[in-house]
Amino acid sequence: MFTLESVQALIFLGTEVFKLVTAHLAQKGTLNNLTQEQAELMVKKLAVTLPDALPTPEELEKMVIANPLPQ
Amino acid sequence: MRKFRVLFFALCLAGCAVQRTQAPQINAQTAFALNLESQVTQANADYKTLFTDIGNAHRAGTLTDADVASLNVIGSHLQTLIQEANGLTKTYSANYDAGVASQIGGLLAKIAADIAQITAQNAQAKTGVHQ
Repeated sequence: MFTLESVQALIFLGTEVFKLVTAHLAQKGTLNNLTQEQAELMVKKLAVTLPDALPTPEELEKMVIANPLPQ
Repeated sequence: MRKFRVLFFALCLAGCAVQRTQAPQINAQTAFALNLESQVTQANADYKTLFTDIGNAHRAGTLTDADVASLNVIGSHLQTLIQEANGLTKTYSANYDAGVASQIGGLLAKIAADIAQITAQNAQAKTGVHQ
């Protein structure tokens, strides 16, 4: 019923979901502890960090990351 | 199965970073702005990580030229969506306009769908599984 390839694909997806969820939870813990003033400052600060232009997929593919995702 | 994956990723991306029950000291408007910004910030990071990883997999021979070309088509669409969301989020942080927030919400749903599709297609290409 399940081929080796489909199990590998599910494990890969599971790993990706785990990374997204843990990153999200870590961010939650930090933001919930802010005061109102700090939160307002954070709104301004986060808005400034958002770039107007992003690199294209092709440009990103040329970059090498230190810890690539499992192959 | 694919619809479930899309729904799951959408839920992951749509979860609130600031929860009013856990952070009653932050007013609703500011909490909403922070939630929008944190989701847009996360989308920027996910986009960069996904395509840097795709480049590494391509160099390692795990992904073919055709796989990468196909992923890049969705990636270009995703890039446009995120750039648009970035611009609108900056606008929203200055005026807290509800219409702008609604537009960002719509973009985030499309972004989540694109990220889910790229992640699934990437996994299928790496393992040789095709739907």
